Amino acid sequence: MDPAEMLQEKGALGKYRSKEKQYAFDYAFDKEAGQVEVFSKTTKFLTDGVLNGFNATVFAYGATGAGKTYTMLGTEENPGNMFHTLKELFNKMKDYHLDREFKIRVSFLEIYNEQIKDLIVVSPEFLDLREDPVKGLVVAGLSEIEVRTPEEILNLLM
Amino acid sequence: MLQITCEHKDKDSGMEAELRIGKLSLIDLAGSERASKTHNRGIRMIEGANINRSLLALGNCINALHENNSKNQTNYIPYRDSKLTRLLKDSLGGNCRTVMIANISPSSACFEDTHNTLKYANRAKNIKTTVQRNVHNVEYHISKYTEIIAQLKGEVVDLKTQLKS
Repeated sequence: MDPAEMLQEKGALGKYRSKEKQYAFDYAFDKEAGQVEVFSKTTKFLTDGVLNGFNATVFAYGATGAGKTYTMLGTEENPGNMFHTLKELFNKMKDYHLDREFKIRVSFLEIYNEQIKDLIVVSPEFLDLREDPVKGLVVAGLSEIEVRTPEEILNLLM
Repeated sequence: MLQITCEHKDKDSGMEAELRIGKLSLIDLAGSERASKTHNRGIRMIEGANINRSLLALGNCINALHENNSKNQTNYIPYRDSKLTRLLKDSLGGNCRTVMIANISPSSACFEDTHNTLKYANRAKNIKTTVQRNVHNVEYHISKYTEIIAQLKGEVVDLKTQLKS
């Protein structure tokens, strides 16, 4: 049922009844938007910076079932933001390949119940967070692997 | 959470190199729904509370950063409340460009969650960060010189063949 209809029909939504809220964001995607469209409007513009030595972060936030994992990880047939980002990074690297030497390393971790788990090398042990005077905050013992093609990553993620 | 570190240096660098390091973090956060909705009780609910702790800490950090930005205050930012926020310290208030994707469900049953997500995203929108290029200067040790010379020789050969063709 349409939420607007429901609003009028009964006070099912409690104190929010008949209170209209408006928000403005950079982009709003409807249900027709695919993985590539979401990627190209959210994460794509960050890749140039990353290749030039800037840091960048992308979050997915929302309630369970709203599609966070689908947006970030995706499915094997329809990979999400993580895969497209790497693909874009590798594509852009080709433009610079004559005068720059690149090295790409990835690590993949999960924080569950305040415990950190390595998702590349699966082990039952939890990892610690340590403060390093030079590198700043590091996850002690987290595996980092070098990748050469985006497909390599896809195998790792799925 | 997927972290991609991208390092590069100019190929024509000699005994000293400028290393540029960019770090890209892609994060799939835990669900933000209310505990009452899930009907989890007992151990499950405690587990849920623990999962939500990092999310709550993230929310607190975003709130504090939002206050600092909008009212020009210098409040304490509680990064140390959870591991997630400690890891994200750079991404939130420091040297990083950050994008937040808010996922919402079209179902009317999720109205409250959707509204909360939008409020959260709205607050996160106001955080400003300053970015700087990460440059490390590396001076190679003499033991590496043979390697560098071999690399440069290789490039000379490459360029010569390119000139001929």
